[in-house]
Amino acid sequence: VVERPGGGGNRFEDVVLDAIEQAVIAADRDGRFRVWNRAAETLTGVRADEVLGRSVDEVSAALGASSGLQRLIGSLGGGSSRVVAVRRRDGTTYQTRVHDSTVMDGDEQVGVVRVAEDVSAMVTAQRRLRRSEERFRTIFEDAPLGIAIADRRGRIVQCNRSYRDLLGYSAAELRGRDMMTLVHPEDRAANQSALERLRRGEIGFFQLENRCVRRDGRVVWIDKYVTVLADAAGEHLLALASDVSERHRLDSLVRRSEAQLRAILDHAPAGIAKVALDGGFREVNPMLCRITGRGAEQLLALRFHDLSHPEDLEEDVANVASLLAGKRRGYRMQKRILRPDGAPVWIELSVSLVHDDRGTPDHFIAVVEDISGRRDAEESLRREAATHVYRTALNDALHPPMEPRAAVQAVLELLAGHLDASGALWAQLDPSGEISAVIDSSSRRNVSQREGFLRWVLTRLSPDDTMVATGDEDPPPPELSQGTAAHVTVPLGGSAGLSSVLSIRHDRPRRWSRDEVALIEETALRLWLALERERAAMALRRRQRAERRARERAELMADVTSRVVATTSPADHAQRIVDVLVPRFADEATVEELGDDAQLRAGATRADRATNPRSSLPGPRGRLAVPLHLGGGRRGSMTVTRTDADREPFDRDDLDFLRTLADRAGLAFERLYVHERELRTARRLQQALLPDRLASGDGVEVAGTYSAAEDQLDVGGDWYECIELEDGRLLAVVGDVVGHGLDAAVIMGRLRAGLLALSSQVDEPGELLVALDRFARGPNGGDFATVCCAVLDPLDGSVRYASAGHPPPLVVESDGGCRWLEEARSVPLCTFPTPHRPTASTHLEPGSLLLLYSDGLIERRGLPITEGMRRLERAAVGLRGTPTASLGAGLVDSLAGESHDDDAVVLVLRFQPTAAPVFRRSFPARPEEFLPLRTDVRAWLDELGAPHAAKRSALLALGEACANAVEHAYADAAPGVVEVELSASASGLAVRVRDHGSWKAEPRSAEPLGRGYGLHIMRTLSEEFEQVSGGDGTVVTMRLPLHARSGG
Amino acid sequence: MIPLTLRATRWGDDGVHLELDGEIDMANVDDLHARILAELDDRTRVLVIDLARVTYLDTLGLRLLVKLAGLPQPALTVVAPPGSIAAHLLAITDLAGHLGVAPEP
Repeated sequence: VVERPGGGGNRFEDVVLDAIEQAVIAADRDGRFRVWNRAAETLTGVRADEVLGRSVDEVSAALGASSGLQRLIGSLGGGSSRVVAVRRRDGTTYQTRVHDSTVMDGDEQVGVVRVAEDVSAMVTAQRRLRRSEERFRTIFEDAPLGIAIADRRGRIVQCNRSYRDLLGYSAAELRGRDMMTLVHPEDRAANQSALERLRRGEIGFFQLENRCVRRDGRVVWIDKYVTVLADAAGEHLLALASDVSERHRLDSLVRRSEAQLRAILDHAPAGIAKVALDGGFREVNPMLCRITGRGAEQLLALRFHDLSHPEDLEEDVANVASLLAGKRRGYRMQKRILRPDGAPVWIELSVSLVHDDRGTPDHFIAVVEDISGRRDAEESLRREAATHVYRTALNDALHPPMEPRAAVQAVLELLAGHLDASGALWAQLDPSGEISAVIDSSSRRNVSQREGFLRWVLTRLSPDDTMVATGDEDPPPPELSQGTAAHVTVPLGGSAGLSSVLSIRHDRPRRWSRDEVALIEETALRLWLALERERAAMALRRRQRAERRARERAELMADVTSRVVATTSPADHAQRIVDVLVPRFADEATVEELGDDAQLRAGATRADRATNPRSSLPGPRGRLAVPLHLGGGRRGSMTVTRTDADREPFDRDDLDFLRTLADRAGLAFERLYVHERELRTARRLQQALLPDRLASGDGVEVAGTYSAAEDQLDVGGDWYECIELEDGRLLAVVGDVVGHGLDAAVIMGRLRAGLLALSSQVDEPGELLVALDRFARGPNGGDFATVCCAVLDPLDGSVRYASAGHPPPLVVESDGGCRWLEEARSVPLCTFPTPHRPTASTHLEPGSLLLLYSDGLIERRGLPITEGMRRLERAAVGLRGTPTASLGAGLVDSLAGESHDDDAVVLVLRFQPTAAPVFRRSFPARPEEFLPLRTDVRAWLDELGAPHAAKRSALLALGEACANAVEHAYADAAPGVVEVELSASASGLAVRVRDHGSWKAEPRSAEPLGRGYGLHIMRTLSEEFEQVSGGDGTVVTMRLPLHARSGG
Repeated sequence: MIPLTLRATRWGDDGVHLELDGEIDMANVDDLHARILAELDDRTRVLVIDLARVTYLDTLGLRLLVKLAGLPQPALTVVAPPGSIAAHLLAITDLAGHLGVAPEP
């Protein structure tokens, strides 16, 4: 019977009982409590002195039903082992596992012992552990163990409530704190060195007991288990801590009370042994036999370390050695022992060294507790924590957007690292089952190494089942496996058949737990799904991108086409193309078109980057160059470059697009080239054909204006000319050849050349038109054309004119009066054979304007022609005072305004005679007077605009007349006066010379060439000659041509 | 004074070339006659009078040429390029056939 000591005695028993973590309650056969250990006090909240010696009923009554103790103490000995829920005094409940056993004395039952243990935390933890990772934090927080996760340097990242309670700090105070600072200064060195070894990878974990200093300064003994958690972000430290202060206190007591151990060994709920210094068992209790699975005799024949799991032996031996060396008073460790069937059992071993009276080590006391349950809980907790970290990293790796190859690599490394396997690979299979891609966690393995194993596995792999191989049987052939012994290979592929394989391997035989296999399968499935998702997303993106780019290209093409329609020159065309291409299609674009001579004819470049305006290096995103297809052996190119790293590289569609664009651009260039060449030629021709200097007689100002059509795309066939005829008159012509462009310009040139040639042969404008018509119908002629001719005599303002289908000339008087010259009209050239075309005449007063023009000046779309003529009248009257040279342009501006769609020419003749029509002079009949007279008459004739031949004739005739007067009239008398009068008119130059002398009969002198020669000369030069002599002298009257006729 | 210059060039012993520049009328024809005779001596056998640069010439001028042509010595040649007033006058008076006229020197 185990009884509570009655004071002073049996102290050893108390100590041992109190050392046991489980509550131990014992009652005698009278039902009175005899044992109520410290754990029972803790568990129930009822002190031993409240119950010892009393009966169960008394205690129940004393504490009241509400105490909830009935469930714990009631029906004592009623069951063997069960879990009951018990409510504490303070109202909280807990789960208790109770185990009853009877105490026998021979065949008689003398009492009952109940061992109770609070398992509520463990029950809760285990229940929660079974749940998924989402519950991890709850589990973590509620775990009965202190748990802390620290970074590699030992700074606390996270810790749970138990850990905080253990140390008396709040979560905020512990976060970021170096765990080492919590350790008692004396224990830090041991801690530090173990931590270093852990960090260096020399050990996988360490466990030790040390003292920590709580926030309130109290020192607590902590049993600490520290290991490394590998995750994607690096390594973390996981520390599991539990308070073992009580045990330490007990251990010290045990050592002193060894002598009394024996009495309670038999009923102690822990395995207890007295062990010799050499490890041999001296005494064992029944519980130890139960834990070890051996009988007492068996144990007593063994030494303690014979039971040890080989892997744990070394540490145990070291602990014993340190104990014997006096470094420690006792030790405590978790280790595995092996039962006879080889099954390992986790125990918590507390060993104390007992000295004899002389202080010499005598034996050990070992207390052994079966902690398999707790150990499993801890282990699964640790695993859960690691798995949680693993899953977090897996989520990160597979979180979209992801780069598939990198993601696979990361996942393989994570998985192999988490399961501590030597490597993992991912293979992609094509529909025929061939391996199309392999990614391995180890970059050192080459393709054949990967694939050799893979092929071997594929021959054995069922498409529906994960293949799990420990490596103990049917290992892959070494030459294929390259260090693969154990592996787990997961086939994937959904309904479409095997498409991917994930395989994790280990270079030594290895067992794979169900959880591990499940995790591998989960990883493989999630990776596969993520890749499928990514593939689908990528296909979607690619399709969207292709659609977007196709749309962009279509828009570009439409844009280029619409812009190019309005192009007026190849350079402009090239510029428009690059303007569209940059920046919408590329960062740089160049269009170059080479001419026949391979010289650059037109080109444009546009670069989007000011910093890289003309880099000759292809940009990082590529360059495309396509030829322009031009006719006539000419070449060209179109080049686009993408330099922006954000751009997508060029693809096949881009090239096709650019080719199409180049084809169109080439056609447009071709069209422009032809047009431009024609336009240029026509313009040059027209400019060459239009007179660069107009004839203008004295007394007539002439100015011509050519105004090109607004759009500049074409040249018309309008032309004008003004030449001086041989007789000094001015021939003014304005014409309009039907049509535009080169043909019109050529015809215009022919007509003008014909006109120049014919003008010297025909006198009247009407005849000139007939001749011109005949010429135009000839082989070098032209086409339908209108012409208006006017011949102005600068001497008297007479005008003769004719029009072949041309708008009538306009006369504007200096006082603002106007009239149209509408007579002498005939059909246009090249219409009907017209043997006769009339000529009309009119007369210009000094200061009048004669305007000839083409219909471009008066025709306006939407306005009747009469309105155009009225507008011309108004404009001409208004502008009549402006200088002749700018009058034509002024008319074009005021009539055509901003836009006119046809060419127009204006020829302005302003009749402004500067010379008086009469010259008079009286002078003494002396030879010296002749030279000044000739000088003045020359000047007067020049002012009249008399032609050279007319001047010469007039001077000779005048000279002879004057010479006769001097020589004959005043031959014998004093020189009298000679009067000279010259007057110009349309009919010619009238010359009159009068003297007041008396002519002698002509002497028969010896002089050759007498007066007869002078008369002969005068008669010959003049059209009319008359010499009349009277009493008052002689008058010579002559009429000379002022305009030398053709051939004259 | 009527502007008239006379430039004489000789070839060998017997050739004289006279280039006239200016106008010839009643006022200076006698003076011209004297200046031409001054250029001649007994040995002069060939006389060329160049009228290309003469801008006015009347019947008195023609009369001088006829007089010079009538001298037994030297032989006269008149230079009168087409278009010149001299050529015009010689044509009108029909004297071109009676004087030795060359179109150019």
